[in-house]
Amino acid sequence: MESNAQERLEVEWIRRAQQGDHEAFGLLVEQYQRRVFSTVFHLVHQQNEVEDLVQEIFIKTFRAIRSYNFRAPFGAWVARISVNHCYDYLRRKRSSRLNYYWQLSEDSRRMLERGLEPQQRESPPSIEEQAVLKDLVKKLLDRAPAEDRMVLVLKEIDNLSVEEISEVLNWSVSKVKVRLHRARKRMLADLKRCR
Amino acid sequence: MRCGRIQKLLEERGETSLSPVDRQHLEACPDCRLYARDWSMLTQGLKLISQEPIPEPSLGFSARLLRRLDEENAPGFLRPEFYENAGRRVIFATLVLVFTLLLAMALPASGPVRHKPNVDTYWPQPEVLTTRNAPVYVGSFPPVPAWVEVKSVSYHWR
Repeated sequence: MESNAQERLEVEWIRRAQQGDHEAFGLLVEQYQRRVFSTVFHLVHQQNEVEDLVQEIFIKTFRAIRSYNFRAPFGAWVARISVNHCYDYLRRKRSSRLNYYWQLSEDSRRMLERGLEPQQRESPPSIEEQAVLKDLVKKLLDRAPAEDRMVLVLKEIDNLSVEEISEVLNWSVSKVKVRLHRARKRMLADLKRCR
Repeated sequence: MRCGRIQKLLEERGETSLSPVDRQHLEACPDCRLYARDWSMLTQGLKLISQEPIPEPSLGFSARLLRRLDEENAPGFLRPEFYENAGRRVIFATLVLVFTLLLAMALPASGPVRHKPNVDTYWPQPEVLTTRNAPVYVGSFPPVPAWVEVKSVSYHWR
């Protein structure tokens, strides 16, 4: 009942924003900003860039809001704009294909390898191991092509279902599955190459 | 074949979803074991990243955003896209101009582009026709119209 009222309110805000009402758009921003911050932060990994990117995304959203036709949920529509904006940003700022793995110190690398031994797997990794592992996976993500990164982040970090990803990226479900499999394979191959 | 299936299962559902037979294969196959280890490492790393605190919007974020939208809607404001499009057009026009100039310079000085084509009708000019050991006849046949000036009509021997 409450969610219905919320939905009706949201539709009203969207309609007002479509007529150029900035105040109504501000209410939509308040509602979706955390979600957009999360998506952008996970895709871009640059804490100092996130706020600027989110602002650009909302400006784009406002300019395009007249074309929103209520077919998809507004959240998914905003997420699509966010992901596309981040995709453009990532392509512009394509990180170099330098091998970061060797930039890890010898101790860190040994710690990582030790933590992954089967007999050790039962015990939870230490804080240092966790930091090293997180750093390595972040670097692998940074090196991945923008499309791989998007699909992996949406699935593995934002925990979206394949159907939700297909809505956000405007891809078919089968395309999402194929891309996801390919992205995982590529990332594992990259990891192997680093070893 | 089995390795591929098991690796796909590992990716999609994790190690716990494997049947006892698949698990036996995983224990015995070094490739699958390595794959499981790497995949578990990646998922652990991704999970750790997902647990990172997300940056909060700074104080007054939406107010600043709305102010920017107001500024953009103010009369006389030209969006950056305008400059981008205008710049693109100027560059395109310059390229077309340079290309045309280069093409004009590359063309030979004679030819249909630089000169008007000759008049279709051909009037024989008073010219010297030479053949070996034969008198050269500068002809007036067919008859030259009165307005064509014939400077000399003579026989030449070579």
